Parts: sequence; structure tokens; C-alpha cells
Amino acid sequence: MAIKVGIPRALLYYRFYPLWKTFFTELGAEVIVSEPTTQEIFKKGLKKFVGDTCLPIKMVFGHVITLADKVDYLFIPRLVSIERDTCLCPHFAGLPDVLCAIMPDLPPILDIHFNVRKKGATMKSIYEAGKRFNKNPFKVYRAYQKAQREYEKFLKRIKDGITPQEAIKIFDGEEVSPPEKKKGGLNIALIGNPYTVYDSFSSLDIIQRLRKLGARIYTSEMIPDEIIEEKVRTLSKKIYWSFGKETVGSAFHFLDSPEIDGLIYIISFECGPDSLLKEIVDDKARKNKRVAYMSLVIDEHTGETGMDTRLDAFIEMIKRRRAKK
Amino acid sequence: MKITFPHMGTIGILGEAIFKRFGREVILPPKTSKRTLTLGSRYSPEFACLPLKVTLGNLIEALENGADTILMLAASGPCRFGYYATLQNLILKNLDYEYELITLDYNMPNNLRKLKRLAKRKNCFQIGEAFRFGFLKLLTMEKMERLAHRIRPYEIKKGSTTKAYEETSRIIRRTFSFKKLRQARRKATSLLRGVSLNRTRNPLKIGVVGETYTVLEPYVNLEVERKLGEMGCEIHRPVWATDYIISMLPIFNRWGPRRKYRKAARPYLKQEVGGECIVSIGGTVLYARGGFDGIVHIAPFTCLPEIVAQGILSKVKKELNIPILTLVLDEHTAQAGLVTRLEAFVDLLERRRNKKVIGDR
Repeated sequence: MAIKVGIPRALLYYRFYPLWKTFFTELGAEVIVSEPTTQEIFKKGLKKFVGDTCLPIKMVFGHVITLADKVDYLFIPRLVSIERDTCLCPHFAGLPDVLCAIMPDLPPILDIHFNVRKKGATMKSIYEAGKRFNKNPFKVYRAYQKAQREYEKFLKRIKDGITPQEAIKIFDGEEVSPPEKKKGGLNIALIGNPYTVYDSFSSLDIIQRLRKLGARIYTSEMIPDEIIEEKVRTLSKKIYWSFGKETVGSAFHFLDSPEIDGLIYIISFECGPDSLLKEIVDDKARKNKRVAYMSLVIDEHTGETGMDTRLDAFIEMIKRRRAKK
Repeated sequence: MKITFPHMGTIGILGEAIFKRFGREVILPPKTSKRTLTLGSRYSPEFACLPLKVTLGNLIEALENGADTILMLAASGPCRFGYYATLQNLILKNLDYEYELITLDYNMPNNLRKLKRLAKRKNCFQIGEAFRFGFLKLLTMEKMERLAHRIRPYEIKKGSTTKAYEETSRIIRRTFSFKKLRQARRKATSLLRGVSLNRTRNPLKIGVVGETYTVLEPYVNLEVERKLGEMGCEIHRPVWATDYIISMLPIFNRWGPRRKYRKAARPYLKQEVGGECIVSIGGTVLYARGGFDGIVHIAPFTCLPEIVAQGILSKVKKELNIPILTLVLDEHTAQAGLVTRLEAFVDLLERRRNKKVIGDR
């Protein structure tokens, strides 16, 4: 029987799932993903966690609990840095240890150490993860290469203008009809950490809501890295959080691009990096008279009605602005 | 050029000493007060961490007093601290203050160039000497603080240690030459030694761990250490300003004072996650092994590394059987509530100790 690897549908699932899944299936493992977040899953996690933390981390706990008795291994990588010169929030680096500390009876955690800041650590850690399934380093390497090809395809699909959620569905073999292009529709840019924006529980499915209101969605994944890099360079100090950099860079890009009508920044309450970066985006947006800007701070108590009202008002405001012109 | 930098416990001494020796004028912000906190939280982002708010308040007050150059440290770790300077610069510029910002980070050649400019035609030897003096002064101050922590639980008259310590701090702060510093040190030590003590007591031993800024800054942590001391507890802590500065230097980052904490924390946290997370965990482990009675863990609200530490400390607590009190501080933390919690904690520790003594018989 194949070894079962569990991947929680939370945090960087929305960014790396195709890579991880292809890698493990190539090595002959069976990948099990937890169900989409629901109130029930979330509450399970909430009971376990000690202290205060942000919404995405609370959600991981719920997903891990639901997966725990179904799988042989839990895949929770220790992500210190995923690209050069930047790192992730401290929660990612400490997550496997915190999970072990709080829930001692979990199945073994595959915590591969991923730090691109240090050279060579990546290849070693990939073998580290793969050797439980296949001892042959070449096979592991080939599986990784195939995973990477699959991952690049996934990224390309996103760059073509669909959301990561839809790209994951396509990857899983589902049919996804691309959103129709309405003439005269509004173009709304959505920024924020991927694990807050694309989880339909935490963001209350904001993408579908906006589409229903007749908006076309742009996300920060659709912006090429070079543009983000260039936009961020205008700041006096480089932003050292990967997603922070992406958020701010794409926000600056959207504020400058003529086709965007509105910009929405989604922040989860208690998110460390975003609490500071919001100030920078706010400042830039305040000085920009053309693009309408709104920031939504969300937590587990955010209600659907409140969200609808705010989005309605936001869209209405943009429409009026247009009519005035 | 009038230089200023925010307070962080006694770290202001270091900067003041160095720049006075360089022949620059230093304007230290007024002592952190209610007004500092109000000013800081008014202009900071809503849920930024507490140190950002307080240091912003410090800077505003210093600029009001006529400072025109701000010196800030900026790391580039995952902790939010590295971005303080940029953000505070943005906020202060929007408030229409005129000043120059100088940041020191891990880029050593760049730092040296910046310092050279500040050093006003002083030669390398003089610059080195200035640093040596500043560091020595800070070290002396910390020695006094350590001594105060040791004797406070034995004092006969409540508050006499604190009074003596404040006097020593005044004496040391006034000195600006090596010779005077030596004299001041002798005088200060004798002042603290002069506090009348009752050595028959057997005080509880408590370790205070947590995020550097909140541990070092007495206004922000509502003087937890003094309060615990006066309740009859001996305080030890792993976080000191000198250690913090040493571990910011390239080589000592790895081999410096943090090493032993990193080693002790290894079974619980395999990766350094930034901030003082690893020191909090390592410190707790070492204190628990050293037979301490309890740990007080201090963190500002929403502090990223300390939330990780808090999660892991829940395991350390169980495995090493040591009570931990976590105090999460923000601008609304009130005196009375804190005192109640500390009193309850100390009561608990005392009972636990008595039980143990009876059990051992």
C-alpha cells in the first residue's frame, strides 16, 4: 500500500500545491489534502492553540487535526526563505516545532528545511523529504524536476489571468471556465498574503463576491517578478518578507496602471508584516487620486453581511467616479 | 547636528557616551512616559507592535526638543524590528518633521562609513576608544542592575534598593572619562552594598525571559522586575543590552552570548526564527535545569517570534515541570491587573516550594 502524505489546505498550499503533489506522487506516495476550511475545522484548531496568533496560523491547526488520523506523514515544510534576499514570517520557520509542542501525538512531520538564503540547503532538503519514499537520489531528483515543470505550468496559468484556486482545480483535472470578459466591467486588484486571500473561509470568498458584482479580478501573482522588484526598489529599505514584497510591489504597480479602477488590500488581524506594510500602501494610495483603495482587516468574526455592504459601497463609489468623468 | 535615538532600557548610555566623545551634541528623548505612549500610538499603524509605538513617541518628543538627526538600528531578520526605521521615517515625514535619518544594519562597511562621518575628523584610535568607553559604561550600568536584582529581595526597607540604584545610575550617567568612570563605579558599588539587608531570607528564584525591548524598558513592562523583587524574588534574565549589541556584530552573531541558549533550545526549536524566540526558550530551559522556581515570559502584543516561543514554551513547561507566566503587553496594560497576576504567580510558586520541601521529607 502506498504511503499516505497529508498536506493541509492552508498557508502555502495556495502557492506550492502542484509542486508538492507532483513530487510525492512521482515518488509513489498518495497525497491527501484536507477539506476546504469550514467553521468546524477552524474551531477544532482554535481550541488547541495557546495564546494569540493570526487567522491563517489558527486555520493550519484545524487542518492538521482533521488530517492527523488519516495519514502516515504530515507534510509541513520549515520554510525560512523561498527566494534570495527575502524570508518568510517567523511563524513559518517555527511551525513544525510549534505543532509538535502543542500536539505531541501527531503522525511524523516531514519538516524539510527550506532556506534559499543559504546555498545548497535546498537540494539536500529535497532529498531529505524524498528518501522516505525512494532511497535513490537520482529518482528523487527526477521527481523534483518533474514537479518543477508542473509547477511552472501552474504559474504560467496564473500569469495568464486566472486565480490560484482555479489553477489548482485545473491541475487536479477539473474543468474551469474562464471568467467572461464583460465590456465596461470594473477592474479590481486584490492584494494580500495568498493564504488569506485565496482561502474562501478567511476571505469569505471575496473573489466570487466581486465577480458577482461584475468585476474582473487582478491578483499580485499575475504581475511578473521583474516589475515587482523594480517597484519595490523605490523604497529606502528593501522589504525582506517575500509576500510583503510581492504585495507592496504589486500594489504600487496597480496604482500606476491605467486599467485598474480599484485596489483592495486584505489583511488578517494580527498579521505582523502586513501591519507595517499597510502604512506604506496606504500612504501611496492616499497620494493617488485615480484608483479607489480600500483595506479590509479580517478575522474569524468577520460577517458576510458586513463584507457585502463594504464591497457594494466600494463598487458603487467607483461607478459613480466613472460616471462623473 | 543634534543626534537622537529612541530609548531601550539603558542602551541610551552607550550612544550618548560615544557621540559625546565624538564631540557631537546628543539630545536624549525625555524619559518614556504616558505622553510618549499616547503620541506614539496616535501616529502608528493600529496593530503594529508596542516597541514601534513607544520608540516613535520617543522620536517625536526628541524632535520637539530640537534634535535634527535620528540614529536607528535596522536588522533584516524576519522580525518586524528591521523595518521600524523605514516606517517611522515615513510617518515622521508625513508629520512634517525635518531631520536626517541614519540607520545602522548588518552591512558593516556601510556602517563604518556612516560612523566615520559622524565622528567629526576623529582618527581610528579615537573612534575605537569612544566605543570602548561607551561599552564599558553600559557594562558598568548593567553590573549595577544585576547587583540590584540580587539584593532587592533581601532589603529590609522596601524600596531602598531601588532608591540606591537610581542614585548609582545618576552617578554613572554623569561620567564621560575612563578615570571618572572607575571612580563612579567604586562609589556606586558601595552605595548598593550599603543597603541594609536581611540575609536570612530564602527568596524565590525567577527568570525573566522575553522580547528584548519589553524586557529592557521598565516603563513598558510596568517595572515587572522591581515589582517581583519587592515581592521577595531574585530575578535573573538572559536578555541584556550588551549581549544584544555583541550578537549584532557579524562573528559574535554565531559564537557570541546567544550560543548557549541556542544549544539549550535545540530539542524544542530547530531553527532560529528571529527576534529573541530562541533566547526565550533556551533561557527557560537553562533556568529550569538550574532549579529556578518559575519563569515570567514577557512579550508585546502580536510579537511574531514570541508567539512562536509561547507555543513551544507550553511544551517546555510540561516536560521540565516549571511554571511559566506569560505577560502580553500593549498600550492598555494596567498596573493593578499586572500586580494581581504577579502576586498570584508568586503565591503559587511559594506554595509549590513549600509542598516540595514537605514532600522531600
